[in-house]
Amino acid sequence: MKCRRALLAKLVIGGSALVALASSPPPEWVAQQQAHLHLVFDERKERTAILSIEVSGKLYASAQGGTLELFTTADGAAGDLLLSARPLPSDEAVSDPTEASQADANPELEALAARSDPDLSSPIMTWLSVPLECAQSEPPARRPKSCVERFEITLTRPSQMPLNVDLSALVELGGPGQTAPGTLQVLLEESDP
Amino acid sequence: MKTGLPCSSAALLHPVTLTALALWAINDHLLKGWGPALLTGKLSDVAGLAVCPTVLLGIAEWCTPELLQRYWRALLIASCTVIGLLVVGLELSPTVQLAYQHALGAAWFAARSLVAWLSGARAPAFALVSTTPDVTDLLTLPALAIPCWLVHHTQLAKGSPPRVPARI
Repeated sequence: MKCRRALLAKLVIGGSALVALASSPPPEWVAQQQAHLHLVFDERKERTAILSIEVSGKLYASAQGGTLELFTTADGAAGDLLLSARPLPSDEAVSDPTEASQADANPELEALAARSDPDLSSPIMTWLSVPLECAQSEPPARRPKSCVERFEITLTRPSQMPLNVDLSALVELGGPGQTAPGTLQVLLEESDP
Repeated sequence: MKTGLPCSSAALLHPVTLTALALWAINDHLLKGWGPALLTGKLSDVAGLAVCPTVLLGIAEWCTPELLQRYWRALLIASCTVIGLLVVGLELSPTVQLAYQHALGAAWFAARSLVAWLSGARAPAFALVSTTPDVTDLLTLPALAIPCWLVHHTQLAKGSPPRVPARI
């Protein structure tokens, strides 16, 4: 009798684990959009780009998670390349690099950075992943019609050797159920060419 | 090693726990999308809070039965505290949310990979699970009183050893 109760109790533990797992499934649909930018490092040591992401319609209403992934590939040795991304408030103008320390003081707008892979044989030299606030900040039921998210992406390198860098931004949104119609627009442009 | 669950099995097999578990499953897979989001969302949270501490206690007893029999009150409080803090973290801390999304994403990835391997299908892609933080979910935290009462009630009904009065 005791043995049977113990077995049933273990079944309840296993069942609870399965229910907990099944109640948070990964997204069943994923919407992707990519943007690319070619940056040339000649005399300047820093290049800045602005990435705008706009999502609207049912796609936005049903999205339950999203990420922005940034990749850079360079045509030469770039072991000192630093890639950073800073979320911009929707109404903020592009900041001057001298304002960076002030912006970094705000934890909500903290910049994320990644240094390039010292392995120069690797074709993807720098990679950075940033969660999208659009798909996480509000529960789907309370969302407005659309959401715009902007990032200031900065590439810096101390050395002065000329370098061509391809910057790619991949935006992914995911959600449950069937693929929902809507708009996912990604615009990547150099802020000061 | 003992394999029974003498201390927590009564609470795990109590009708309240089993009903909460059934409600959790039915709510997440049938009621969501049909009923009002406010009700179905909170029902899930209450059911989860009613079940999880008891399950955690069961796992603790499975691993260290002697410890649980000796300190079941302390472990019960610890289980409720861990689950409560997890819920608070999921609602308020992006770091906890990300850790949770990665942990459950990894569990799903392992399960789907196993199914794909057994069926000969393509390996699935790793994806984070999604969370929907809602600060009002914290209002469901008093539901932690359910497993506390339940374990206490079942332990007392079973007849735990009487307390020895402290010597002055």
